Amino acid sequence: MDNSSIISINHLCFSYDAREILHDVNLEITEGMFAAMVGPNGGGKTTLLKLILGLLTPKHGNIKVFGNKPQFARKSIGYVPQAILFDQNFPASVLDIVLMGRVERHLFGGYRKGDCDTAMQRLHDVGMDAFANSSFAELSGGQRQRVLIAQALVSEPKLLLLDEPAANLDQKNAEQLFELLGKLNQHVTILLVSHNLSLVSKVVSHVICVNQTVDMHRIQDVQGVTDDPTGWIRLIHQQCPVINGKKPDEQIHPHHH
Amino acid sequence: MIFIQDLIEFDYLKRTVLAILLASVACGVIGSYVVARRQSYLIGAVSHSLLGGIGLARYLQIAHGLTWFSTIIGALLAAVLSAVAISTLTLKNRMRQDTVLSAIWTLGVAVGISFIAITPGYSEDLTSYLFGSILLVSTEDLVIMAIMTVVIAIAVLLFRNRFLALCFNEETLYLRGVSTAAVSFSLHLLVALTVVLLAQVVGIVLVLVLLVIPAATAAHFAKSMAMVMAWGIIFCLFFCYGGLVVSYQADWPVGATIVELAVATYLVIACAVALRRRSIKNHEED
Repeated sequence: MDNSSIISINHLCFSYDAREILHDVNLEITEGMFAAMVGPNGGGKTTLLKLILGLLTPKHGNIKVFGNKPQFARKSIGYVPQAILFDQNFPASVLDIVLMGRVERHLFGGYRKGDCDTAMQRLHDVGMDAFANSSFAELSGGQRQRVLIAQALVSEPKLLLLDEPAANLDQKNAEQLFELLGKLNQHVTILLVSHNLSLVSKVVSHVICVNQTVDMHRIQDVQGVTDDPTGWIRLIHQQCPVINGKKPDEQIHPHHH
Repeated sequence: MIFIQDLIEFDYLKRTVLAILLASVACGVIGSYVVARRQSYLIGAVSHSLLGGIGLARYLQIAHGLTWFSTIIGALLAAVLSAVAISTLTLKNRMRQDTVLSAIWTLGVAVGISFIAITPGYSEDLTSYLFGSILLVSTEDLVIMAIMTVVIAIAVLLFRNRFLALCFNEETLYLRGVSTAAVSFSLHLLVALTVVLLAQVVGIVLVLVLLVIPAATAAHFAKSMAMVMAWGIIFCLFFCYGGLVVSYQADWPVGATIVELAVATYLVIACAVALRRRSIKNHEED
């Protein structure tokens, strides 16, 4: 194993019952990468994310995160889910929510001063430090997304995983978010799922096409197609196989917000 | 006022006032978690299962002379068993939660009815367990209630980070490498203890409302979990003491009066909050 290997996937297959979602996947994510997973709905992006988090187990092949089984690597992963279900009156401040990124650190008692200091720094990094004492439930979608990123960062992860981070954001907020992620990538490896292809192309180092099989491209190798938003569909046509006998046009619905 | 005069004169009223204080602390604290986690349906199942334990206690006391096996010990036993059953049977969706809860709910009542039927010479009024008998709380009961309240307070002080994260989002806690099953089980146990405490005040049938309403009322305006808990305790004390004094003066049933006062207050505050939000919204639109 290479020392800088973050995620290493070899000949991985995964199926729900008879339906094969991922077939013979090989993927190597190394330190410092900023990779975006793109592909049609049902192509296996979320399944791949769950396999990396150890929430699902591969049927064949293997997956290593930091050289270990995924479930042993969780503490080194900061995960930002797409949508979080919580009570709309949930009584917690922004700082309370960020501190949950360190919930495993102390078995007894409250958070220590060091935890709060780090949480405030991470809130500063995402531009939300002025809201530390505000109610999390009263924030806008974009603000919540930033707070959840701070929560993932406060655990001092070596890998940041984000599932559709821009799904509920308008164009301006989405651009700001990816700009922020670009800055964070100086310190942490990032892997995200995105539909917003033209937005991610400005900041990512690698693009991963996920459609039953997986192909990774360096961003400079696919620069020609990134200028044209619809070019991404061409890219997927070339690299990813047709599944279930459908034409790719019926499967691929890139969203442009 | 007759209540104040009697409070000075009679020890049973002093015990009642103390019992309400203990139950309110547990109610405010644990009710906040129940509301935030939207698990009020748990309360109904646990509280009705208490009847099985109470029936067992009455049977053992009368038929077998086990006088130490008081109804509060029987209730405690039933509550803990229910919490264990709910936690283990619903773990990883092994069984559907609504099925498990309905089974525990009705099984508890059935076992209670059976024990009451086979208890020789049983003539006590069942309604005191169903609708509360706070004026009959004994010194021994009070000691057990105090121990339970201390256990709840210490557990929450120690594990408050985990409980808060569990209530916010179970997956967040799980992905930090914490056993959500263990945290969830601990919280179920504390809920069970709280149900036993509150059942002493308002009885089995009325626990559901009293456990949830103080925290739900507080959640309308309190911004942190600690504030919801503090206000939850204050509301619970207000409902119980208010209900106690009014029912004592008017000679109404205590438990029912407490619940009526609680629901009325909740509705007034919920409406006030909704109106205020609307006026703020209109103001912003102008």
